[in-house]
Amino acid sequence: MKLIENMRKQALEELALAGDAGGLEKWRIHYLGKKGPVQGLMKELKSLPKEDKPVFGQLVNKLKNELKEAHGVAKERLGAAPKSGGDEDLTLPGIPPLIGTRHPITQMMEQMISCMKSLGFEVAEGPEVEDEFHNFNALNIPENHPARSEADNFYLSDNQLLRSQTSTVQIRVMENRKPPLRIIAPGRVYRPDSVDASHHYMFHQIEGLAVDKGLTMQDMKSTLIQFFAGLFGEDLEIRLRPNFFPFTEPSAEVDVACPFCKGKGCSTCQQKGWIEMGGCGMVDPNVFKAVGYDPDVYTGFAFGLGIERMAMRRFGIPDIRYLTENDVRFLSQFPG
Amino acid sequence: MKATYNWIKEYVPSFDGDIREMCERFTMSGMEVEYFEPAGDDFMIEFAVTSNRVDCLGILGLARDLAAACKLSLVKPQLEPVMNNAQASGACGVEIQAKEECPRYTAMVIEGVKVGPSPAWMVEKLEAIGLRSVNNIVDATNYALFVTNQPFHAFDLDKLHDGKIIIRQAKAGETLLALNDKSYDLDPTMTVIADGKGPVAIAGVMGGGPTEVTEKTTRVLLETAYFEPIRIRSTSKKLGLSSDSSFRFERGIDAEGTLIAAQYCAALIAEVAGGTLRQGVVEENFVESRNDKIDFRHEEVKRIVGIDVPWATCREIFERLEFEVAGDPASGIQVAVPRFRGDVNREIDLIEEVIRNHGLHMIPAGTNMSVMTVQESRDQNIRRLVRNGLVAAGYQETLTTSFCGEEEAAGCFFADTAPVTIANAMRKDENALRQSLMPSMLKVRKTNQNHGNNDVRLVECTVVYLAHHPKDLPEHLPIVGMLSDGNFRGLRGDVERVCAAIGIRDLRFEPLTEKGAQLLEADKSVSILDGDGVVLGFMGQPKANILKHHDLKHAPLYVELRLDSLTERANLEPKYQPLSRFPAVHRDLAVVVDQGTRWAEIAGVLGALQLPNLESLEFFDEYRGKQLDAGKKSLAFSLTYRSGDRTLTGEEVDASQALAMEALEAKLGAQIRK
Repeated sequence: MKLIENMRKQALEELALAGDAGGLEKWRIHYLGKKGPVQGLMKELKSLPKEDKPVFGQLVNKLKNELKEAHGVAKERLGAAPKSGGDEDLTLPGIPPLIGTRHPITQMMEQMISCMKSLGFEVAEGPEVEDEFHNFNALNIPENHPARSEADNFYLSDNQLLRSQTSTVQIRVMENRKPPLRIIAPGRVYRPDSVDASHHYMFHQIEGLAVDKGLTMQDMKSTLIQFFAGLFGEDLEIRLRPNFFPFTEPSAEVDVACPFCKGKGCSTCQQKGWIEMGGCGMVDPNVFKAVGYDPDVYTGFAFGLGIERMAMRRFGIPDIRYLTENDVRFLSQFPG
Repeated sequence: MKATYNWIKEYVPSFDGDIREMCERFTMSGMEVEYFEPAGDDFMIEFAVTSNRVDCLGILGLARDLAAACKLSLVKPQLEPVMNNAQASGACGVEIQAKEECPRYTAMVIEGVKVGPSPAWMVEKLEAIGLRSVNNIVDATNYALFVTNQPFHAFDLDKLHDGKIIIRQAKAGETLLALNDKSYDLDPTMTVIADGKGPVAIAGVMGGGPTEVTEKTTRVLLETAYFEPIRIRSTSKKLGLSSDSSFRFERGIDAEGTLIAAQYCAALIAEVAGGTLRQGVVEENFVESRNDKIDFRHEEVKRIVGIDVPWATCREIFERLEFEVAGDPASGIQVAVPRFRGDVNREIDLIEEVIRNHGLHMIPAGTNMSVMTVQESRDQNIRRLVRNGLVAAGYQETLTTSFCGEEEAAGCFFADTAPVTIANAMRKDENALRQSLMPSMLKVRKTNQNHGNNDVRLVECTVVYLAHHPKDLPEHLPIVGMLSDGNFRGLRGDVERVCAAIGIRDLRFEPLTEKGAQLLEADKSVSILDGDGVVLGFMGQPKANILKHHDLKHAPLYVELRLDSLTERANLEPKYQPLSRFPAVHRDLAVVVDQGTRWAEIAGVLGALQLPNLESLEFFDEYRGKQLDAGKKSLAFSLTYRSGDRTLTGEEVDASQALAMEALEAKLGAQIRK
């Protein structure tokens, strides 16, 4: 047993002296190798009394494990320390890992969702293939309205079409839930536009809807201010100007002061000083009636924003077609 | 809609702002100015008139809005024509047969006109808004149209057979040579203006060539009518012919304002072309006059808008818009809205008029909205975890369109449905909704091949559309698609890893089902199942013909998994498992087996043994080569033993190892490689 203890001492002392990888490796081959002194201890077994044999064997094994571990620790310690004039070339480039990226539209969308979530809006979803009731009737778009034309919608069979706006989700949510509610509905929408640098037949919108007793245009304006401040920064100025949408009354367009020229007029805002962000308004009483809400009890506001335009502006993407082309060199430009 | 600064100012003379201020006022009260540009001494302004504001397709309508927004007076044009003593009814007759299509038609007769060039002031204004001057009569009708928003048509009365005007549906086979010198085939869905002989105009769309006003014309029949919007739209669309008239009729003009507009136009003709007006009009009128009053609760303004707009302000806004107001907030308020504002029918519409003209900027920021908690739904959560997990593993998220060609769209891993087709598709290769992401992903791979990009890894979480019953909306099946240029094991590892991240650890990879084999190569692909044998998806190499169709040089691997099934199976609440405090014993083993032997067989044999304290079995190497007999390969793997309550002895582990070797030899003819 004394033999083992001595061996331990000697080995650990020598290990402490091994100052570089080479020394460490020599130590390992010597002590942990099959022909080394530790393994050699096993030869002593023969000369031991029978009853001591198992204990001795166990102790030798234990020593082996202990030395292995000590070697590991020493190796780690040496590895972490700077090499002293070793021959490893530390100027070689790093090995690039596989880099995955979320699509810029996803990134924009998730940022918008996160802003709205902090204001108590919950994500809702609805089908992309819709019926005319949800895409038109319930949204106060009457029969024979030009918005129903084939030039503006992809029709499937008789009563089905691809939704032309995410406002359809408002209807689906209100049909199934009672106020108060606050939702946002991001998703794909479809319109048969010819594809060019700024138009695509498939794009994304994010729809917001809040319904409760006592909600006003002032609440809507405040919500939009907080939302855009979350996206673009605190000092951003927004303005509302009247517009028309069948499903809101009063309706307005949201503009934000051009962040590039601070409202002075530049090429990004077409010299207007303001950038159009999307539509908003108070939910039209006819929409409430279509889903069985009493417009004399509840009020609500809704807004809809295009995601592509915002993402393109944020990332400086000049052509909407790049977004669906999916060249990996393009996708790699937006890590995140 | 084009107008000019001076033209609008003519009706709001007290407006003293410049062009920029005028545009700003319009934009901020809801009549967006797209742009303006100099036109001589004037400025042309292009308005984006919203579809509800048909009245603003006339300059007087625009001027009324400007006056209301600026609290100024509107000055309407006043023209008194010179009358003669004859009666209009003595020169022509009007008969409406198509009462639904044409509820109102008014004819006036101007005699003794001298057709010639228009005065300079008229030509200048018309040219500023992009109209070409024709002659004084035609120009006057165009000018009056742009002022009043009421379309007119001037016939040469002496060319109208019997001086008769009949409004009726066209007969099959009838044709008309229109003012643009083109001949149009008419059908019974279209309404025409006919004389004693046949059609002389396509109602509401365009007049006819043979009856147009020429230099020889001395007597004019001036048409002023109201046509049903839907009929005009369908006729205009069918004929591929639209005009300033049809543009307005199909949007719905003021059915009650025709007479006033007609008097203005007739007076204008008389002014610029000389001549005198016969007494009276010849008219048929089936328009029911409307005198609806809207109840207006002043306190509703605050309930909707959030701020108090004093009743006096509301009242002034209404009056400047020519709404008639009766009553007061105490006794109740009624508002009568003129017919030209067909968009204002309800109290809420009146509230919009108030805030639109009062100014949305008057609404301050600040809200008392209560705090609401937000929860993420389970399927959104899973979709995000899966997508972000794969992005972390090096996959790039794509965004592909939902369309593909009908033939490609037929390919589906999870149903036998026929693809949903698009009735008005723009392209033949995009005429159906996809039932799998594979065609889109292969298309993206091809794009990247064209651009010389290698080692592509793609992921997309989306829905595919499965029409189970044609009457119902199609199922929107959520899926995740992955494409990889890497090898099968790497891809499998990524699938296992992302499933493990949502708590699914018992994936099984089994021979391809028949369904999967329609799209993937059977010997290079597998079905992915959960522990209960439910198919979650498929992975492997797309069929050779499909790759060929996409012109791909190298075969990528593709995975498609049902996100709904993953959501159902996912376990997002990991629980603590006690860790053993005792050392593990590792034993490596290499066995030589026939080349046909699968790892799954080895794992199966070892698993069936239920070796005591076996913690894990890990494959680490496969070797084929000269050192082995022909037809053999070597598989190396490592077994880890550990007990939860004691240190294992070498003998115990050796015994397990011996069992393992014995079983592998007996079941698979494996030999231990030393």
